[in-house]
Amino acid sequence: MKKIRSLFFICLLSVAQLSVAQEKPLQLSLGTIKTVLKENAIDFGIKYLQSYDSLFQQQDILFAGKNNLFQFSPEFNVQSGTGDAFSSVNLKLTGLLMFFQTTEISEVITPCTNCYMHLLPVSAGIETNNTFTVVNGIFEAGYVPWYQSPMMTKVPDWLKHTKAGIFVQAGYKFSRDTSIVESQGGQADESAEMEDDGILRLKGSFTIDTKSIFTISGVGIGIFGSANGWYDLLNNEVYYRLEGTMRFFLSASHDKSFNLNYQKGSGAPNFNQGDQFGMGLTLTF
Amino acid sequence: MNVEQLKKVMKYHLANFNDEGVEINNDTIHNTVLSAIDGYGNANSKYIYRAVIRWTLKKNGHEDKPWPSDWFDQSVAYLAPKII
Repeated sequence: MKKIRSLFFICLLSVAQLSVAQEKPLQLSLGTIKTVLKENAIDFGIKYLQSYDSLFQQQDILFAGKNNLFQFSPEFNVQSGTGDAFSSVNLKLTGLLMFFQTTEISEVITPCTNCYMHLLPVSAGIETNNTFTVVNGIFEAGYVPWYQSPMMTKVPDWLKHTKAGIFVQAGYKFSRDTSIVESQGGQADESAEMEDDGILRLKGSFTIDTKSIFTISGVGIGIFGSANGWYDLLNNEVYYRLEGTMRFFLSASHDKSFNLNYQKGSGAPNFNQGDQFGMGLTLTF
Repeated sequence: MNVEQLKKVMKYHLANFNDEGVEINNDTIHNTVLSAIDGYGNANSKYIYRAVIRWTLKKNGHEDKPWPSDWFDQSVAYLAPKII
């Protein structure tokens, strides 16, 4: 177990090093939280998304159809912490298929980005937690409509601050020896999914991000909220994860912020339904 | 397509991702408009912008060149001649 964990963090550090001189693909969060067991703990998060060519110094794959295109990239998201803090680790290779209308700008044919577009993200990877007591192999395909362009006059302004998506997730939950790990509070696996068995879920996501609504003494203040729900088709169970964050932006480019955060439900793979709240800093590199 | 036409295309797309009212011109820095964390995975404004510019280059008869690794921190005027 220790070897696997060490290998994972070595990989994490290697990729983080690669990103430093490149195009800000890495977001780190660090804060203090009150956990499900009402204990004080440290919480940290990592979001990483890098285009293939930046990572390997060569052009990535782009299939350019008449009214569509496809690109892919590696991605991982980590939420973890001390004590019984929620933990969720996702490592995957994601691709994006886009369908769009075209328009002419300065006599050049280009995708119409102020028209509705249809985005179909697909990914394959693993879901696990920080003790690796749950390891799921997951394939995901989804639909995300694009309606957020400020130039779209038919879409209400408030709606342009939202995003919605629906996904199908299928995979397999691998058997692990968990006899030496005691999981409790926010670390407990509350999923009905069984080891050595298949996984089939429907997932719906909705987010709202106001960015900076107003400014006080040069500090922009905004609100971020997200709601994710899963329907476990094989076990007839529903899981959810709700998150609300008040952000205090510490730079004009919004790459540094101080956050007050509340989260109900850990999300995959544990689907723990406890709650935790806290405060911390988020930096984008 | 020449460099000036490409700049106009880039500014058109930046304007369509500009949800915070940033002034869009040749000096606009990409990271002031685009973000890698404003969508689900790679369905985000930074990724989509890059994909549609590459599609435009390919469909208008240009080579799909690798982008400079620092493009996100650079302006329209800097990037356009590097990728056409």
